[in-house]
Parts: sequence; structure tokens; C-alpha cells
Amino acid sequence: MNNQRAQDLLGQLKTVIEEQESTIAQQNIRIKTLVAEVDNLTKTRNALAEKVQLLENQNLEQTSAKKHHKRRTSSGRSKNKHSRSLSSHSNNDPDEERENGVNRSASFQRKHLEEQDIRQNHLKYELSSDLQDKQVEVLRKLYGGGSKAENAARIIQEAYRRHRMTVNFKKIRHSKIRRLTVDNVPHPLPEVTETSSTPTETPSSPTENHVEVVELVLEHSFVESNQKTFDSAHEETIEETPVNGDIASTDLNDEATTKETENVATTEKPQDEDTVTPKASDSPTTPPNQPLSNEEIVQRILQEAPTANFKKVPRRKKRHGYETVILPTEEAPVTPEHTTHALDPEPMLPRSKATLSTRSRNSDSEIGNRSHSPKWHRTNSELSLTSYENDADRESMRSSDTASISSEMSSIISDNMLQTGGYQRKSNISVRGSWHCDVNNDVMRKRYYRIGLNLFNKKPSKGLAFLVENMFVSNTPPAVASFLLNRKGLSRQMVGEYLGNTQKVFNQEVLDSLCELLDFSGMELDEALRQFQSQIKVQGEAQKVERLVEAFSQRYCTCNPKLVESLHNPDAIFVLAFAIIMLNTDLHSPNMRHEKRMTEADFIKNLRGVDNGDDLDEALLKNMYNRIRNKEFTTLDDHVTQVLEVERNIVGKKPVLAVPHRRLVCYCRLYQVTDPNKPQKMGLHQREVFLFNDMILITKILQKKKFATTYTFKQSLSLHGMNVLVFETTYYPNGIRLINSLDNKVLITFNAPNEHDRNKFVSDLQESIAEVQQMETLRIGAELERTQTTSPSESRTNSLLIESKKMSTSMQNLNEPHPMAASFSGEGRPTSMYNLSSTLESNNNNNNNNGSVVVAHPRQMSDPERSPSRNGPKIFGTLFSNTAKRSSGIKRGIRVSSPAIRVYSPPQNGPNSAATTEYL
Amino acid sequence: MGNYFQKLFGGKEMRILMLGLDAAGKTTILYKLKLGQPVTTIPTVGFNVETVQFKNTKFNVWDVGGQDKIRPLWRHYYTGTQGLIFVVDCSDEDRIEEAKDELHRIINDREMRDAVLLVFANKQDLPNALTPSQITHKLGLHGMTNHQWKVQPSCATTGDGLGEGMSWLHSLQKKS
Repeated sequence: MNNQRAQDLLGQLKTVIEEQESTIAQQNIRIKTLVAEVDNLTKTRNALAEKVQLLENQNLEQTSAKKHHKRRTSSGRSKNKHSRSLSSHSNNDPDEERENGVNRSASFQRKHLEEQDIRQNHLKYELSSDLQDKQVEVLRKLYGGGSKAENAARIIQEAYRRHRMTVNFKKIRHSKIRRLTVDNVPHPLPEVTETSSTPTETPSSPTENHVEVVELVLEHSFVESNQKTFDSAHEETIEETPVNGDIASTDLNDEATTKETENVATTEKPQDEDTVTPKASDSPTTPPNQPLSNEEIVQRILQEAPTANFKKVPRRKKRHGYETVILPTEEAPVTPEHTTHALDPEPMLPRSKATLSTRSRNSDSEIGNRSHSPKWHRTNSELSLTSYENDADRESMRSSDTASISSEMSSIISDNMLQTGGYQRKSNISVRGSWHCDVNNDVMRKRYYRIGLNLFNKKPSKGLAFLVENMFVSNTPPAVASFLLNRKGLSRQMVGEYLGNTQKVFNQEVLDSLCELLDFSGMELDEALRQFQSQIKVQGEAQKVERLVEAFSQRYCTCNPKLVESLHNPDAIFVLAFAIIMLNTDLHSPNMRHEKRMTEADFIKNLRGVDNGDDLDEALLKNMYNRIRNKEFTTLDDHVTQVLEVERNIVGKKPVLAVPHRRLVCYCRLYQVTDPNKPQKMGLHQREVFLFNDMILITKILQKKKFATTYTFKQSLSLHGMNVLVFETTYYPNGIRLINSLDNKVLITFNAPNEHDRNKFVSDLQESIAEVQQMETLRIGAELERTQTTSPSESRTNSLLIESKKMSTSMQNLNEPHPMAASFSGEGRPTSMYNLSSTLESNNNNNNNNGSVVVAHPRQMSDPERSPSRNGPKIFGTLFSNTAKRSSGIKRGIRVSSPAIRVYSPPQNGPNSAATTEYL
Repeated sequence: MGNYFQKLFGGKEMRILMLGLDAAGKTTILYKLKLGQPVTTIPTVGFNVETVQFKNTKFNVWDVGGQDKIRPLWRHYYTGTQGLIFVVDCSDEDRIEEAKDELHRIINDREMRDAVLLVFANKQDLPNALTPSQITHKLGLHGMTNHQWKVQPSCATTGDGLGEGMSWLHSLQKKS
């Protein structure tokens, strides 16, 4: 039994074993086949890897082959090496890479090609990390130093990010604007919605931004900037990074004494978390005039575009409330979109509130505000901040207002950038973050607005089309009418030109709507007419005048129905109004001989039988005649009046300044510098510099009287193609240099009396340059479009050439007196140039507050022999801040307490709050 | 002061009215004529009045025009007017009839009986511009016997033909 059972069990075991053995055998077979498969797969994989490597090598070859023949010879070798190490391609031999890098460093002579290479390498992620490090090293060498290259790269990256954001934000905003325009929403929305959506980045590149981009490249193509870390996606801080312009190499490269900063790319951190000493001038690495291929230009454009928005970064610490009070933007804190007429949805309710409240005190506050800046005045400083106290949201108000100051803008932008890039910002700056997107866009938007105004002042229909296109005004007669009536910065002459256009029905509708906004009830006809023409210049072609007068008289009749009832012929009012205009010309035109002027009797006689054969009341006519004779019709001041005022005060030979499209941006006293490395006597070559929106006028004081100062004309420079550099030498701590961006010739060199003035002036200047460049870009674009549609056969390059030719000629003509231009020049009349003495006083008073800023530098400048031992203006600032008055007294020529600046306080300049709200 | 010199050196003055439909180019012509001469920076509110010096004659040119209702007002200036400059836009054939009516209404005014007529056939630079002879025909000048007249082709933007026109006026001034 036992044996049997044991045998059974054995048998069972055997069968089990047999079964298992068979399965093992089967599995072995399977394993073998699988192994074979695996082998196959690895082979194919290796083959593929090899291919990839080859392709990559080819790419590298292609780029480098363009530049250098050596590269081609070495490429074969490196290809072999690559193929040899195909299975482990990710771990390339560092030696080989170094070789590669060396080869390249020898071959990559030109910066733009490097950039291309970098991009290429970034696109492919096959390069190992140490390989990339090597490349970085090589590139750094090429850029002229590690930190320089890092800074450059970081700025590019930041700029690109900002560019994206701007694009995105613009999109959002535009969509919003469109909606609001459609809905006719008069008041802005709360800002929350908009700001919350801004940080999102969407890949898009609207064409409009490219326009801007082109301009920027033109402006700063050879600017090189420092950057702290190369892989700048998450930098920690932004430090002071003065950047070297090309000029550094040419004449300012004395490192011991010279420090040149390129203000354009300068970024400065408000609170110096990490201060890096400014670099002395390095050797310039980028040839500015190097030819770029189209592709490359586009690439560079894409990368560099937003750097322009950096513009000038002022030092925050110096602001301490002072600048926020001044609000020197010509644009004023309120962009056009804040008014109801524009229907623009800029969502800043607090701001518009503020401006509304300011409007009534414009005139009062002008002087007061101006006085805050002793040496510097922006023409539109009148945007007072008086309403701040009343505003609940003070902080945001402040930020929004300061934001709109163009000079502040870049720092804010960089703040913004920092935030989005993962920065830790301190305190209130991050609180303000939500505004910053607006800031960037605001600046652009304001620039566009000013461009629209400029266009209008050149060609009204064109300008209005531009403004409509850019959503500054909706395309309905009432909207346009209120726009024309209420906005400042429009030449009244041109408003008249536009409204008097008899050819276009739309213009006539606008005129009718405009008249409806005016109330003449109970007024004498001539007084009503006087009021009407104070807004709109009724001047020019007879038909135009007639059209304007006709619209006016219709409105007058509606306002005074009783008077009309008493007349037999309703047209009598129209004829009488026309006769009044005629009388005004007759009595006041300088081209009329005195003895030939119309007499009272002539006037009455000429109107005989006007009222359907009946005469009008003779006493009425007599009164009218006398009123007209005693007081000429004049238009209210506009920006042309200011320019005219400047022109008047220049004696002797001078260019024609007062043209409708010219606007005074600011005035600043500067000192011309012949050689930045040589000291010159204190106060020597003092220049009064007037910055207009299209040119810079350099004058010298001829005679100073109590109420008026006369100037002699020195020089005028077109802003087109101008580049601004800021430099610092021992002798000239606040140097400004204007250069021609095309040939890099130095146009003129200045030294500002103090840093504040310089910052303001430079920021204004840069914004104006940007405006000019953008206008030119737009114009060329439009012109190109036109030539292409009219003559498609003409090649693009040809037309471009033609354009540039035209451009240059037009620039040449700019300063030549042109009778035609002059004829349109001034409307409005010379009202009081602002009282100098009052300005003086206010400046004196104000000086107590911020005299320190003003004085520090004059002191330094005046002591050239001592200054070599001192390195920075900052030192002086602190040293002498308490002795401002004294030092100013010691140094003749610099009068601290005296207003270096007289203000043509601008009734308007573009879209400022005062302008936009005055008539609301 | 200027008047004294005028009297001393026999400078003459001629009052000219400038007429034409709107956008015919009157203003451009007026200021083209002024080219090189001092222009007042701020034009007086109202109409374009300019004194143009040509050779030794001062032309006091008034840019007038407009609809029938206000035409009586211009009478004041018709008196003593020695010349009428009529500007025609040659590229605007549609309104040539309108221009003709306008011209005849003015020139046939009683006060204008002594005035000479200079027609600027303007905008000759534009394509499809009517020729001076076409203009003469369309304006019905051939039948005009009571006035001395001349049709002068011109291009206001370049200034072509303006000098010739003024010379003609000047020569007539001398005779009279």
C-alpha cells in the first residue's frame, strides 16, 4: 500500500516535473525570440539616433558655413566623431565641444549670427548641459564679457516677455474697447477684470506691435546692455546696470574718469537689494552699422522690441513724492479713453474722477504745480494732483499717475516684469502690480493718441481716420463733434479746416452736431459768433467760412427763436453773421490799407435790404461794428499759441516754428559741452532748449527782462533718427548726448544742471523721439501700401528707397521757413506768456522742499579740480543737500533758487486730464 | 512809412478779387504767389486777404466767393476792383458748369464792369485735366466782349503759370 502510494506520488511528481520542464523549454524559446527582437530594436534605435546626430551636425554646419570656410573643413571631422559616439550622443566629449566652440568663436564674427545660432540651439534640446555651458562661455566671450552678455541676454528675455504681455494685453484691451464702443458705455469699468487677465501670455504677434518694434530697432540697434544672469528666466534682482553705448569706445573710454551709461536699457531697482557697481566702459562689441539680413532683422526685432519700453529708468528713491506731485507728462495722467466722448473703456475710474475734479482749477493749479520743479518744466504740468486727498484709492491713484509719467514708466515696467518673472518685490510695489500692465499699454496708447493728433494737425481727415481706427473716438458725428470741441492738442485752425470741408457730408454732420453742443441763447449775434469762433478758427477759403457761419447761424436761430420771429427773412442772421466775419477781416487784417478799411457807414450800407428788403436795426449794427472794431475775433489758445510764443521770443534769424502740428513738449536749461573729458567754466555755453514733438530747438538767452526773455536761435535738430545717450564724466555728471542713429555722428552734447532735470528731459525726449519714429514708420507703411496698390510692379525695395529719400528731404525742409506753413501757423493769439515773476516766486518757495536735488550737481560741476577725487553725483547729493542755498550762492552762474525754466504752461498737449475734461 | 515809399517810388496798388468754387486751388495759388514774401504768422479770422508784391505793383488779393445769399455783401469790394482772378479746377469736369454760372454772375455785376478777368485753368498736372481751350469754351468766354480776359494754364502746387498770369495783370495795370 505504502509503496503503491509512494509510486503514485512519484508518478504524479514526474508528470508535474515533466510539465514544468516543457513550459520552461517553451519559455526559453520565447525568451530567445524576444532577445532577438530586442536586439533588432536597439539596432534600429541606434540607427535613428545616428541619423538625428547627423542632422544636427548638418544644421550647425549650415549656419557656420555661411560665415566661415574653416567651419566647413572642421565639420566633417566633427561629424565623424558624432557618428562614432552615436549610441551615447547625449554625452559628447567635452574636448570635442570645446573644439567646436573655439571653431565657432573664430568664425562667428557677427553678433546677429550668434543670436541665430543661439536660437537654433535653443530650439533643439539635444545638447548636453555641459555642452551648452561651453557655448555660453564662448558666446560670453564674443559679447565682450560674462556679465555683459548675461545682462544682454536677460534684457532680451525680459523684453520678449514684456513684449508678449503687451501684445496680449493689447488684444484684451482692444476687444474690450470694441465692445464698449459698440455699447456706447460712457464710463470706464472697474479695473479689476482687466488687470486680472493681463499676466496670461498667449502666443500671438499682432502686426501693430511690429511697427513699434521696427522703430525700436532703429533707435537702439547698437545699444548693448548688461545682464546679470544668462539663463534669466528667473533672476533674483535687477541691479543698477549702466550700459555702454558705442560712444564709449570712441571718446569716452577713459575708464578712470569716465562712466558712460546707456540710459535706454538701464534698469534700476528701487530698493537696492543687490547693488552691482556700474561697469566702466567696456570695449564695444557690436558694430552698429553692420548689415543685417532681413530674417535677422526680424529676429532681432522680435527680441529687442520691447527694450525700448525700458526707456529711461529714474531712480525711485529720488522720487519720494516729489515727482508724483509734478506729473510732468505732457499726456497727463488721463489717457483719452477716460472721457465719455471717446468711449474708451480704460478702466480707471478713480483717475477720471480725479481729473474731473481738477478741471475747474486748471488755471489755478498750473503755477503751483509747475513750481515744484525749479529747473524743469513739462509744458503740461498742470495736471494737478489736487484730488488725491479725496480719493479713497490713493495708492492706486498714485501708482497710476506716476505710471503715466513716461520717465517713471520703465521702472514700473521692470517691476512688473520682475513680478511676472517670479520676483519677490517689496511692499507696495507688488501691490501696484496690477497697474503696470496699463502703464506699458498706456504709454503706447498715449503715443498713438498723440500721433493721431499730429496727423490731424497735418491732415485733419487723415488724423481723424487714424483716431477712429485706434478707437480713440467712435465714428459718429456726435462723438467726433465732442472730440473736436473738447480735446486739447488739436489745432483750432485744423478743426476749422475739417469742419469747413464742403465736400464731405460726414464733416458737415459733425459740424452740425458740434453746433448743437454750443448754446447761444440770449446772446448778441456778434458775441455768439465770437464765442463760436473762439473754439473753431473761422478762417480761410470763402466757402469754408461760409459753411461754418451757416452752421453757426442755424444754431443761433434755434437758440433765439424770438429774435428770428421778428425777422422777415430767416437768412438775415446768416448774412449778418457772414458780414461780421467779413468786417473782422476788413478791420484787422494787416494786409488792408488803413484808409481802405470799412467804415461804420459802409457796414450799414452793405447790409441794406438784407431782411427781405428791410433794413436791420441801425443801432444794433452800430454796436456790432464798434465791438468788432474794438476787439478783434480771436481763437482761444491751443498748442500752436505756445509755439508761437516761443517763436516770438526768438530774435533774429530763426526757422518757422509755429505750424499746426508742432507742440511744445518741454523746456530745459542745459549747458552745451564741447568735450566731455575736458572741464569748462561753470555756466558756460548755457542753452535754453525747447523740445517740440518733432524737433529740438537750441537757443541762447539774448536778453532778460522782467517779463520777457528773448533768445537767439542757435540750432534746431529734427528728432527723426535721433538717439539719446546719457553719460557721466567727472566734469559732467549729468551728460546728455544726442547722436544721429544712422551714422552715429554726435549732434550735440549737453550737461544738465542736475539729475532730475536730466532724467525728465531725457525721458521726454525719448518719448518724443519714439513718437516721431513711429509716425514715420506708420507713414512709410501707408505709403508703401499705397504704392503697392497703385503700382504693384514696383519692387518693394525701390519704393522703400524712394521713401527714404523723401524722408530725408522732408527732414531737410523741416527747418526751412516755408511761407505756406507760415500761413497756417498761428491761430489763436498770443496771450500772456506766463508771468515770469510769478513763476520765479513759486519756484523760490518750492525750492525749500527739494533744493537739495538741484544744488548738488552744480556744486560738483563748478569744482572740476576737486571732482576727480569724487566719483559719483550721489555723494554730492548727500554732501550738499543741506547747504543748497549756500553753495548756490557761492557758485555764480547757477542760481539754485531762480527758475531756470520758464513755463509755457500748456493749455493742452495731447490727451491730458485737463484737456479731456474741461468741457465735460 | 511804407506808404511814403510807395508814393515816392510810384508803386501801384491793384485790388484783385479771387474767385472760384471751393477746392479749386485759390488758397494755394494765393500763398504760392506770396512765396518768398513775408507772411503774417497769424492770419486774421475771416477771409484770406494777402498783399502780393509783383514787380512794382502791389496786388491786394481777396479770396471771396460763396453762395448767392451772401453775394451782395461782396459788393463792397467789387467797387474799385480792377481785376478778377477766377480759378477753375480743370480736373473736375462735373462742376465746370457750376463754375461757369458763378463766374458769369460775378463778372456781369455792375460794379465789376471795369475789371479784367484772369482765369487760372488750375490743376493742369492732374490726369484728364481739361485743356485751356476746353476751359475757355466751357466757361463761355468767347462770347465775353465787355472784359479783357485771359485763360492761363497753371499748377498751383508747383507754381507753374502763376507768374505769367500775374505778368499779364501787371501789363494791363501799366496801360491803364
